[in-house]
Amino acid sequence: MTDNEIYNQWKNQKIDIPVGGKFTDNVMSGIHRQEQQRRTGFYNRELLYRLLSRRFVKAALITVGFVGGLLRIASVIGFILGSCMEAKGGLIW
Amino acid sequence: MMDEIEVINRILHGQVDAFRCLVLRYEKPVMCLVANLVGDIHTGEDIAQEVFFAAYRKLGSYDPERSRFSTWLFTIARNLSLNAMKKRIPNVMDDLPETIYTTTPDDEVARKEFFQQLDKKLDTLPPCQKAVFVMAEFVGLSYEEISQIEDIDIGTVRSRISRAKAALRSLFNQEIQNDR
Repeated sequence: MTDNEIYNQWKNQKIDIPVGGKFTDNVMSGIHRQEQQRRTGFYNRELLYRLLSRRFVKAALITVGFVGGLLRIASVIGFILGSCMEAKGGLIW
Repeated sequence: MMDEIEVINRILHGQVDAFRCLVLRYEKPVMCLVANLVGDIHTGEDIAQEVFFAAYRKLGSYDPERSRFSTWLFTIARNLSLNAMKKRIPNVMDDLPETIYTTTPDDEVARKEFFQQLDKKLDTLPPCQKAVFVMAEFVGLSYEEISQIEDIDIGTVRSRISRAKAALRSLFNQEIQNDR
C-alpha cells in the first residue's frame, strides 16, 4: 500500500463522520423551543407596553418619580445645610 | 431542492419548519468540520447543534450579497469549534507511543494505530492551520471559500495547508525510516 493510499483511507474515514439519526429532529425541537421562548419574551414586553399605556400606571410612575426627586433634593439640601452648620460650629469653637 | 435564499426568506417570514431544509443540507459538512476540529464525535455533535441554533438566531443578519450561505454557516461552525478547542484540556502528545511503529501499516491493527497517530498529529497543529486543513481536505471547501471564512488571502490558505500536510507527511517519513 502506498503512502497516498494510506493517507486517502485515513482522509475518507475523517470525511465520513456519522451524523446521529435524530440530529435534525433534535435541532428542530431546539429551534422550536427557542422560538417559544422568544415569543414568550415578546408577549411579556407587550404586556409591559400595555401596562405603561394605562393612565393610572403612568400617574403612579410620575408620582413615584416626583416623590423620589423631592426626597433626593431634600437630602442634598440637608447635607449642604448640615455641612454649613458644622463648618460654622467649628469656627465658633 | 428549494433555493436557499427562498428557504431563508420563508424562515424569516415565520415558517420555522423551513429551517429543517437547511439542517438536512448542511448537517453532514458541518458535522465533518466541527467533529474533526474538536477531535471528538460526541462533542462535535453538540457543537454542530449549537451551530444551527446560532445560525437560526442570527439568520436575520445574513447578507446574501456578502457571502454564500454555506460560507456564513461554516464561519459560525469554525468560530464555535475554535472556542470549544480553547476550552478543551489539551490531550495531545501525552499518549503517543515512544517508538513510532515498526511495521508498514498494511495490516489492519497497524493501520488503525497509524491512523491514530495521524489523528494526534492533526491535533497538535496550530488551531488556525488545523481549521484550514480540515476545511480543505475533509469538508472539501474551495480555497476561496476558506479565505473568506478565515478572512485571510488565498496564498496564506495554501501555505497553511502545505505546512499541515508537511507535518502529517513527517509521520510517513518516520515510518519509512523505522521500516529500514
